[in-house]
Amino acid sequence: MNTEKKRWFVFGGSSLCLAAGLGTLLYFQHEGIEQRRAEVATLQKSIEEDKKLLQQTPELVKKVIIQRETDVVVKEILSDEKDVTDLARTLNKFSQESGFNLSSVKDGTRSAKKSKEDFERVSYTLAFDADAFQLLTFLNKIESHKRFMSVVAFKLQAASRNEYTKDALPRHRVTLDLETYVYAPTGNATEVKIDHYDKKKELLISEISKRASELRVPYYEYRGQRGRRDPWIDPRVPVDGGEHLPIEEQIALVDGLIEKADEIQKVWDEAKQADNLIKTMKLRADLEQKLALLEEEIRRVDAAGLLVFVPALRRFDKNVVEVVASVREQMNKGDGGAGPSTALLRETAEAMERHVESQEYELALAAYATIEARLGLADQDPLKEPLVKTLRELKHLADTVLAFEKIEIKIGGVALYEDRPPVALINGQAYSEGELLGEELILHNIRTDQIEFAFRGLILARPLEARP
Amino acid sequence: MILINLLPDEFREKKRTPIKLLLAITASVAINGSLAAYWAWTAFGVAAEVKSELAVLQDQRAAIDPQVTYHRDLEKESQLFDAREEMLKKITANRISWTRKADELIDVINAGGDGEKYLVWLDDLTVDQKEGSRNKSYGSLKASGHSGSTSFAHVANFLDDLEHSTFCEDFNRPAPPEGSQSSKDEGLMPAEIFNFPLEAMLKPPEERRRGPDGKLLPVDKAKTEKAKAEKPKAGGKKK
Repeated sequence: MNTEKKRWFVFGGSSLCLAAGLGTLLYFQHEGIEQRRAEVATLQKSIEEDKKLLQQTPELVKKVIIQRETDVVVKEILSDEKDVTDLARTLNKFSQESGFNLSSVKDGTRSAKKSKEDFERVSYTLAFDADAFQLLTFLNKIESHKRFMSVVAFKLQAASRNEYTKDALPRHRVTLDLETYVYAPTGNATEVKIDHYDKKKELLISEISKRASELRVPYYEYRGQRGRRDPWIDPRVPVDGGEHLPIEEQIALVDGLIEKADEIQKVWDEAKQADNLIKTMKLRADLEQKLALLEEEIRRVDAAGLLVFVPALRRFDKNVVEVVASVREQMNKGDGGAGPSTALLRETAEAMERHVESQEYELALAAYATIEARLGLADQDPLKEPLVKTLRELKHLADTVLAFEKIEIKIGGVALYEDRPPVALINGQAYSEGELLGEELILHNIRTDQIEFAFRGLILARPLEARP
Repeated sequence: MILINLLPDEFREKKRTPIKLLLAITASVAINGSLAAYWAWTAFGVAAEVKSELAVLQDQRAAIDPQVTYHRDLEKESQLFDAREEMLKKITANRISWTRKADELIDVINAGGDGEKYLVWLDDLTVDQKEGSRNKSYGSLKASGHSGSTSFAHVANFLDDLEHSTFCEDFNRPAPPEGSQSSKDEGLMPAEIFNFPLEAMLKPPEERRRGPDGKLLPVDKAKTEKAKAEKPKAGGKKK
């Protein structure tokens, strides 16, 4: 090979080597740049995503604040261990407030907590005797309690008809399965420090309270018996019960009377505890009025035989008649031998007047009978004496009317003539005005529509029967 | 053969770079120079720019990293609360207010008046909320009822009222009326009565969810159809 060629070869080779070297450098440079660009793109994307994420941070902070604050509600809804121990007391209190006592409380099975759950289930089985409305009151107390409790099963066996026709009120046998939960957090969240927490919390107060109310378990608002009959009580009435009020009306009537009896008991308790004489006198006067009115109603209910639905009748006896009798007895014992008070005399007189106006003479006599035995003492008191006199007059009136009603008077007719005294055909005999029909009965006045008689100092009339 | 130029210098042909060589060198220099320039441009221009861009982004990253960590920590805390609330919802969703149900049942029974429409009373009541996976039941309410009338239509009236009352919002439709006449008790009024069973099966929990106002919440239609297809039996046995 000649020198020229060698030179050419060397030159060409070195040029190519240089170019290749530069090319390689460029290649790696380019690779490096691409790699960095990819890194930049990835980083940029990740930063963008994080920025987007961070835009949500204020909302997340709010959410966490709300959650932290409402977690108190979660803890309130689900009992902790201590509250479960207190639950027995709570159930006992609920039963007493509902009007019965628990006959048995069995602590049921405790379900094993699943690892991820924050709550452990605890169950109880309760047994008791109660009527339907006591049961509903109890259920409502359980279901509306701030701690979450759930009735998962219950069984009610109605009281048999034989049981509630005796003196006791009907009570059904109830067994009830109850469930509640123990709050035992499995993982405690590390509380992240939030700057100006209190200030932020204050700004979120309304949202916190809204969320808390959303978390609280809604419950049914039970409004009581409302004059309804217990459907587990046989509503059939004895055949000899005659005409009677509908059951709902009987229940409503007894409810109203019980309310009045409760009011009387309340006033009596207040009167006993009153710290001054004036207050005592005022309360006793009020009590006399209320008692007289309720006694009047009791007499009317009894006389009319309005109550035939046995549970209503039992409640009437137990919660009205017995309460009134007890208060009356205590009041009589407490009068210190002074006889009936002026207020009692006045109220009794007024009650008798109302009975007489309503032509309920037997009820008027029943009202009189309640104080008759003690009128002797009142007679000696000049202040009470006029009232006693009124009472006796009313009694005389009622007695006379009843005695007059018992006298058999068959009016055959009347004859009215001009310029001649009228004549009436009574019990088959003709009588003129002023004639004596019996020992105490005098024919007083003969009119076209009725005949008036004078009987024991009173003028009483018998209407003429309308003729077709 | 050796060629010797004997011409004096002034006559000799002037020595100059051969054009081929010149072209080759020029081409080589141009190519390599361009490559070198391009490399220099990428090294000191583009690569530096990308590097600095990366550095800026890394700085940014470093700046927001604590904020992201803070956010993630908050998320973790929130997720724990979420899980707890979800569990609470799950626990409370299945609860039925038996006060409401018993109260509504009493309302319906009392709506019959004193026997004008029906006079119904019950011997017992058994309520069970246990779910049965075998027959797809979600719990039941059972009772033995009596109708104080010789007319069986009164039982139908009662069941009809029950079906159209709010009581049945949580239950499937009770079965058609059935029953048997009881022996006569002359001492009581009415003397003749009908005995009938009352049995109602609970609807699936998703169909009986109630809002805070106590009203039923709307149900997912697809779920409802599925539930209807799997409707548990309703009704009772003849006494």
